[in-house]
Amino acid sequence: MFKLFLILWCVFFSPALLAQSVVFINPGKSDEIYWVSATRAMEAAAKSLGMSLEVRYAERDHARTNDIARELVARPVAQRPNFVVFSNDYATGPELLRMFDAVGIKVFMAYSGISDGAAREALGRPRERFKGWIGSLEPRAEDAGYLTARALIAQGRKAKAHAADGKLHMIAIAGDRSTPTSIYRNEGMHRAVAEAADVVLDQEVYAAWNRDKAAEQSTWLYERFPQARLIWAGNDLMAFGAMQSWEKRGGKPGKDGWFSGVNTSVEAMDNIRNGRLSALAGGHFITGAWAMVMIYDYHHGRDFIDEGLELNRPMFTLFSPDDAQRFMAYFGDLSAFKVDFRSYSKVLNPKLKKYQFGFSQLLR
Amino acid sequence: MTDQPFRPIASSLVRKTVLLAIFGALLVTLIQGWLFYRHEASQFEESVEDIVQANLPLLASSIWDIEPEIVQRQVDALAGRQQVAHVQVRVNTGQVFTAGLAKYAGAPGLRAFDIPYPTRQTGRIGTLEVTTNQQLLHTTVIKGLMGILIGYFGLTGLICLLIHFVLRRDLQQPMTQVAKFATALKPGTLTRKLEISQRHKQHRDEIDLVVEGFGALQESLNSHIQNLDVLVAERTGELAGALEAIKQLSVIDYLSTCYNRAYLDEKLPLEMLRAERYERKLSVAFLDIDHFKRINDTYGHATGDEVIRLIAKTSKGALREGLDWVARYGGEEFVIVLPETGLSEAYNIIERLRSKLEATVILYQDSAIAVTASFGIAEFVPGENAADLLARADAMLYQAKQTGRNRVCYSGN
Repeated sequence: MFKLFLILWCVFFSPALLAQSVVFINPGKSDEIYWVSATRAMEAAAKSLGMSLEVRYAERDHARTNDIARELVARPVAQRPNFVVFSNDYATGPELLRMFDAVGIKVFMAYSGISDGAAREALGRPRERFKGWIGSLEPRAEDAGYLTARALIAQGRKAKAHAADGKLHMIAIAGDRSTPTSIYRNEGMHRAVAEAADVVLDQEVYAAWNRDKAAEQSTWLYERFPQARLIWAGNDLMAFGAMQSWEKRGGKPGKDGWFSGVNTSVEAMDNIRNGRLSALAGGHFITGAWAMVMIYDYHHGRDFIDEGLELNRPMFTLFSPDDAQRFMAYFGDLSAFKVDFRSYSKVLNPKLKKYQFGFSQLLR
Repeated sequence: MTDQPFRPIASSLVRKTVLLAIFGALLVTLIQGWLFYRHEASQFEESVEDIVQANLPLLASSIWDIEPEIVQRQVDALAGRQQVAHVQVRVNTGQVFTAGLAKYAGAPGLRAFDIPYPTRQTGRIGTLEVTTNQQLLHTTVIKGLMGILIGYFGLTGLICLLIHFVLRRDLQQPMTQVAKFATALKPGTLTRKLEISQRHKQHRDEIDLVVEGFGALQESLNSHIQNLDVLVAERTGELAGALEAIKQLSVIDYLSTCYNRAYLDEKLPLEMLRAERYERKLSVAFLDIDHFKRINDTYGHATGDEVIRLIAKTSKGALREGLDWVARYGGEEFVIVLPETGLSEAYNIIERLRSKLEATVILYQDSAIAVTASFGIAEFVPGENAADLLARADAMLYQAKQTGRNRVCYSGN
């Protein structure tokens, strides 16, 4: 009996003596800049903190997400990760959570957590029904929408792009209707529009985060709403698509039409610097890296429970052309980010009382 | 019998039925076809309307939400409906979505619909142009009409078959049998009854009436014929009687009621021939009334006639019945033929007659007229002819006349 206990003790605790292992199920495509950036940030954090990180891409296919999870769960105990980090995109969360919790793999949700509704009813809160679900961290997506919309409106006012009725007309190209990120960003945009008395939102369409679709849809929209001069996009690709079709009509983005987007791709940074893109918010790809810091602290005894279990923190920052330049310097090389995350760990910096997750601090 | 060709009633009726059916079919086709077309056309329009209305909201929202793939899918689905040949969606912002074969676009049957804003009541965000599949409509109508016509002609065909078989069994065959029977009917077979085969029915009909009529006809014919037989028998009897009378007239001398000269000329040779064959005797006697001319002149012809009648009657009375006979030879002469009689016996008979005559008188007013006659007898000699025999008898008569009248002479006397 004692021997069994000893063996079990070794089995359970030996991984803790080794470097903790984390698997990140990346929901995006392996060629998507944003999600590659996310991976690189997490890798930088892992390297900084001495954690092993394995990244698997779901290529935006939620069935694949399940397949990856199943594969992980089917691994022998010794090869299973300590933690799995994933994003609750396309409502894949509950399924994954159940799978991992069943075999004792700890789970941390990053990027998208559980929104209220059926999922909430089924899962409850972290560490309640599912002990292995230690928490979640989301960027405050609403900020992305709000910041970019507000900046766009300011730009439109400055350029006096009002229509004959004295109003600034805006069209919005959003991501999708179900992802919480998309929903929150839209909400932020709507808040900015509501706050502005002289702005009218002509229509909101959904281009599935896709450049070509955004290009197609914006063509229709420009015909439909000839007075619209402000085009808000939920991400960078859709903004580029809209700008493309604007140029096709003989327009000049940044001069006779103003565009905003979200994300920190190289193309986006370039367009901020050359003025074609009027507003850009981003930095939230760092969420995964912050999650790694939190996991590191948790694993080493400094739980984050005092700040909450489901954290929704401002991370987005609006990029000025200077910010863009600095960004390129630190984060321009997609093969590896040279960022040191040690100064953000509570374990390594006991004086740190509260996590600061804003991105702008990384640009200094 | 006319020279008209024979055509059975059934085929005539069938022919008329078919003609009527064709005419009726044309009429039915026209009316029904038109009604059917109208009905189908409105159904068609309605179904197209329904299809469009069912699709319009989704089309409207997918156009509003700018989902080109969904719009195209819808347009394709619309064009896939059998009532629809071609679909085109024109969006206000300039995009055009098409489905269906281009050759059908704009054909008769082009219907345009406004695609409304999903968000507000008025205005449209595009137009939906649907070209209906007129061919389908036509095909449906034609198929329906075909169905009707096939059913109609099918029924007509059945009716014609029915007519053919029923008429053949119930009319033609019995009628043919009646005709055959009538043709074969002879006065001698009139009582044979007309039997129609295959008449196992619960009711009488016209055929039975014909059969009954025939029976009545036969009966009346039969009784008529029997009557006729009786009549004929009567008439024949009458005729026989008349013939007999005529025959009598032709051989009888009207005044004397004796045989006439013609009879004598015919019968005497026969008597002689018989006498010769059977070797019998035969005698003839000439009788001549004495002073006949003087009686006629003196007392008139009426008296003369009476004298002749008296002579004849007396003569016949004196002769042997069934054997002897008297013929009037001339105005005042008679020939008496006595078969089976020889000369001497003949003399006795004739003598007796003479004396009877002598004793007879005729009364004329207050006078009594004596009537006498002279006689000459000759016996038949085998081998001689009638003329010779009569000549010899006549010679004896002459002798009697010469020797004082009122006497009988014979050869050898």
